[in-house]
Amino acid sequence: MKAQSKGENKHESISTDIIDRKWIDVNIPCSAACPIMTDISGYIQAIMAGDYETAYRINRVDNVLPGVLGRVCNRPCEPVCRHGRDGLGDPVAICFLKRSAADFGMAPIKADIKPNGKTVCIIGAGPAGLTAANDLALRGYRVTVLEQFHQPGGMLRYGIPQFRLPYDVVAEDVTSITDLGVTIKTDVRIAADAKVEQLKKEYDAVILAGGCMLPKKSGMPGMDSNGVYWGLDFMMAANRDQLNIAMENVAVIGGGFTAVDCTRMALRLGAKQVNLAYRRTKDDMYVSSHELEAMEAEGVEFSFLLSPTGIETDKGKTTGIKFIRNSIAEDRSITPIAGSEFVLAADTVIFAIGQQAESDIIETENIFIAGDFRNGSATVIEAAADGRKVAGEVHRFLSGVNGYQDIIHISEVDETGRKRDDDFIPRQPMDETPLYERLIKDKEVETGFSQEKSSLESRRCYLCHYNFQIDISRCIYCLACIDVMPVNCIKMAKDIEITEDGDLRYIETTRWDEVQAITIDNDQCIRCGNCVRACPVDCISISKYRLEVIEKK
Amino acid sequence: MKHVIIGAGAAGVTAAVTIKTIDKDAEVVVIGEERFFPYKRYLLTEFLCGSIDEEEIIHTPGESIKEMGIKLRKGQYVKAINPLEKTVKLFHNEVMPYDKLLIAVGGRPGLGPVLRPFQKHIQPYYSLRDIMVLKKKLPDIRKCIVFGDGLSSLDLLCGLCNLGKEVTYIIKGKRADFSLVESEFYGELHDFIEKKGIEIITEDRLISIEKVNRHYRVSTLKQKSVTADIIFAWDYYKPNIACIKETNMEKKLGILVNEQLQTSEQDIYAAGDCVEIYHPGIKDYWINFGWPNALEQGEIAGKNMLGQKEKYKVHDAIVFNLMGKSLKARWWK
Repeated sequence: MKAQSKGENKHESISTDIIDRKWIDVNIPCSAACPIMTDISGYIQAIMAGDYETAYRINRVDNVLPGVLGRVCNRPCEPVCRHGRDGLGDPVAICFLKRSAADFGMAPIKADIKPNGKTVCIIGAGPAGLTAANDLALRGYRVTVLEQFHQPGGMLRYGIPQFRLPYDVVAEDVTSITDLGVTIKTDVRIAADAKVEQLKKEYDAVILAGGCMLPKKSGMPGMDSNGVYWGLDFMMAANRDQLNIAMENVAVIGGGFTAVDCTRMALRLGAKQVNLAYRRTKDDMYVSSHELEAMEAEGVEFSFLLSPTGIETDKGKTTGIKFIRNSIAEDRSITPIAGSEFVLAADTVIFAIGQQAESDIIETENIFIAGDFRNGSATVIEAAADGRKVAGEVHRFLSGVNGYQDIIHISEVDETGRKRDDDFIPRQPMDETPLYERLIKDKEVETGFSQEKSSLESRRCYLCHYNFQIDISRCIYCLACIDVMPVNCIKMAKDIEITEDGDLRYIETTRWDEVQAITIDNDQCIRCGNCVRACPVDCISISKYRLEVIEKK
Repeated sequence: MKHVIIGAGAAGVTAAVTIKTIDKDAEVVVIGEERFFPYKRYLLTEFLCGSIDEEEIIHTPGESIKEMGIKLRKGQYVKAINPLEKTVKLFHNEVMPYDKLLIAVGGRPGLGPVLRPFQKHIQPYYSLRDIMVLKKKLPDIRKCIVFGDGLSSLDLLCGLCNLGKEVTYIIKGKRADFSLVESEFYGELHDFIEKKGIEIITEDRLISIEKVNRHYRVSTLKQKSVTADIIFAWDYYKPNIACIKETNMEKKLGILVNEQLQTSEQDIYAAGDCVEIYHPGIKDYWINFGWPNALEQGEIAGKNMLGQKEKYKVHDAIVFNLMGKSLKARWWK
């Protein structure tokens, strides 16, 4: 690969050993936390080398919607990044880097597809459906996706506002999938089970990935009054410019992504005062902190430990919403406090308390269910991961492969290209549209890293996919490596234990007469390579680990 | 019985004194982050203006703390609490066991996500140390910008005015009311400070600060640009409860306590500006910010830590009383 010019591969081997597979889970925390196991350090290293096209391609292997997920992913990878640990600063801005790989390196996927003559129909062109379509098309299936709306993308296109995810970004990622030969038919709605039965006969397999488009409803008094909306309906109408209402004082109920989007959209639609009310506390909200910050910066007020009990109306028009305060227990259960009801004035009330799937069809024969349609509403990356999983099941069902297995590519390199100084680069902030321009409805708020910024940010990555090992049989215990170590990363051990799970555990010592081995703690290692350069007998090796999932023969 | 008190402010010190008065043999350790003896925060502006000296601002001098047998650890802070093992961990990783623990860490003004990146350009105005630094800077300051609601802004505005500085006050609302909605002064304050010569910019927000030579240039949401020698700004004043981060203690903005000031964790109490308690009168969780409340809660917490069951009575008055007696500040009423 071109990107690894710094650490040119000397020799590559393939391992199926459980210890090596486990090494990845333990030592590359970002990839392990990603539902779709994206090769994060792989693409960040390509950005470091200035090769955005390779970065895009590495990312695109796992994550078929790089432009979309570079913007709206909930980033389970970042909180676990080793750079964010106590005393080490802030996590690497993984998501922003992923976006810059797509911004600067997007290119058509070159794939050698051998058609296998089988057909698959996918209902729903959201993240789960699109990911499944991509995977099956690459394996030679003729894939048709049926989408009920006018444009593909599902929630990405209609649920998420343009100020977070512009339409062209969704369209570009969709194009990279249709380029593989996938047909998307829009404005086709499959509502009745009978139609599914028919599709079942027409295609070799059918995947239902219709998402969760039905708002969860609440039956409290006054819900039918003028000025009350369901979160998703509100967002979809606003996104299609079909919402033409005057609002001044808006209350949004809920603690998820849709609730947050509704508050920010309401501000853009001219609301003077927007309040978000959630029944638990800020820490319990199902949104990432950067979105809460954006909401706070734009001027939305929050209230916590509040449950709505009714809508106040005057001649059918909403005038306010009645709340009761809650107390919260350690298990996060809430109890209303008797007598604590009060009314918050509002002319518009938006309930964004969750969505559910439209149907309860179960998987039979050649019918498969994927994404939110199966799991209930979740995040984009979780839906994509589920789409991939179901595509794998479909392939197994139609082609007779014996399942899948993880293999690890291990390649030896001379150096990593990282320097100790890189640890002191601060996390690069995202460039944003200035606050005074935020009220322009469809203007994207996060404007993306420049190449300079992404290159600087990429250097912060510890490149956890490099495994540093000391060959004890050759080590002469000269301590040269310990002298040059930048952090407490090389340890002396008096014993090595193999645990039940197959892990190696070193029993540390500081007494010289007990030392039986010197080992590199990959959890502390910053991959600078000082030790390799200092070693007089060349007993320290660096190898790069990369996971691949292959079919079992 | 070992009583550990986190916070050497009004609530913490009052609790320590209460415990020692009732039970001479009790072991009491107070951990305070600041390097001063407990002082009266509400007098800081008067100290800045030079109307009182350093001695007058001290609340409990070192000798009396020593006499009472209270162990005061200055300049140290607690970074974690372990309610299961009944220990606290200090910043230098010392682990200290306790039998009863009181959290009285108070509140702190803070910046929201918009202003946080500009923190280095903003003059802090909260602790005695901040004021001492500010006192040194005063002679070089002519123009000031103040942004923030709440009574502490009023206090600061009047102080700066009395020192003969040129002041611009930026607020989000239509009129400056300093959150004193229910007070007798409501409505008059805006005109009052305007008459004092303070320029008020209403319905606007500070969104960026830039350093230009020795001055600061601020931009507002409505794209106004104002230059000054010093910037004071805060978005909120809230409980400063980072030390409970790793516990499951019930919290909202502050630590939730019952009427006996017990938290949801056994043998842990909380008092003062860092607690939130449900107030049936206003039907809301309530932080009773301020000096008098801290003294009252400190005393109750101290007694209850010794096994009494005294209840804190929530007050009828709901005036936001951030700086205690500051309403009687001598320069304007």
